[in-house]
Amino acid sequence: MNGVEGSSATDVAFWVISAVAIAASIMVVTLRDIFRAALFLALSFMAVAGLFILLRAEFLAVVQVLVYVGAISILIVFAIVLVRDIPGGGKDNHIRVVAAIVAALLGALAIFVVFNSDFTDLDALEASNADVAAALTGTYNLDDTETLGDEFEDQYAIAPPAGEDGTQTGIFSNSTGAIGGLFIRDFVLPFEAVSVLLLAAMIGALALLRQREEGS
Amino acid sequence: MTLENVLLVSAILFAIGLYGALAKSNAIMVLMSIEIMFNAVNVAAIAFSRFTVPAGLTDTPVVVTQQAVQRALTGQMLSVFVITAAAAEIALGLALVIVVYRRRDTVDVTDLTEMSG
Repeated sequence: MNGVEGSSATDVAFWVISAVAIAASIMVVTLRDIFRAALFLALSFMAVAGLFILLRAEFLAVVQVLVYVGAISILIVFAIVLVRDIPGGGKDNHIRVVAAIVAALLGALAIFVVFNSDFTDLDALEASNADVAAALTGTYNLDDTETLGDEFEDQYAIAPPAGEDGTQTGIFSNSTGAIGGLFIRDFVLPFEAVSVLLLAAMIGALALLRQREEGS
Repeated sequence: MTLENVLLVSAILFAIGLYGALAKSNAIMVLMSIEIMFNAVNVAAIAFSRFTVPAGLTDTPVVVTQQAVQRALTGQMLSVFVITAAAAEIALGLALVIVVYRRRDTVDVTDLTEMSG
C-alpha cells in the first residue's frame, strides 16, 4: 500500500529538497546583499512547495507557489527596490550572538521534543486497522472493506468517484476536492473571517501609504 | 521520510528564521525571516496532517465519517489560513516599512528608538 511512498527514491527526494530548503534559508539570514537574500528566499519557498508535494498536500503546494513565490517574493523585491538600501541591507545588529544562542537553544529543544514524543503513527494504524489506513492514504475497494460499512458512501459524500473496478482512492490521494468541501462546509466561518482579514490588510496598507502623501 | 524527520527539518527552518528575525537590523530582512518561520510552521502542520491518525479512527470497527475526513485534513486547512495570515502580514509589514523609510530615510530597526524610554 505504501507503494512509491515507502521507496528510497522518496527518501532521497525528501532529503535533497530539505537540504535545499535549509541551505537557502541559511543563505537568506547570512547574505549581506539583501536582493540576493530575497532571491534565495524564493528558492526556499520553492523547496518547501516540493516538501508539500511529498507530504501529499498538492493543493497547498500550488498555493505555496502562487502566494509565496509569486506574490510575497515579488512584493519583497518591490519593497527592496523602493527602499534602496541594498548594499548594507543584510547587516546584523548588536544582539547577533544572543540571537544565535536563543535560536539554537529553541531549535535543539524542538528537536529533542520531536524525538522524545510518542505520535500515533499511520504505520501503527496499518497494523491494527488496515482498511481505515487505506481509506486515508492508499487505494481501497468499498466492497471488500466491511469495517468501512455502507454508511461510508452516505457520510463521506465528497469521496472521489470509484474507479471501474470499484476501487476508491484515499483522502490524501486526492485532497484538493476534500479541502474545497471543507471550505464551504466545516470551515466556512474561518473562511469568511480570513476574507475580512485580507480586506482589512488591503485597506490598511492603502491607508498607511496614502496618509503620508497627503501630509507632504 | 518519517514524521520525525519532517519535524526535524521544520524545527531547523524555524530556528534559522528565528535567528534572522532577532539578529537582522534591516526591517525587510526581519520580515523575510518571519516568512521562513511561517513556512516551517506550515511544514509541521502538514506533516502532522499526513502522518498522524485522526482521533476516533484508531478503534475497530470504525466508520469513516465526514468528521473523520475533517480531522484528517485539519493540518492542511490550518496551513491555508496560516498562508492567508502571512500574506496579510507581509502586505501590511512592507507598507509600514515604506512609510518608515519615507519619514526617517532608514529601515534599520536599531535606529527606530522613539518608543524606548
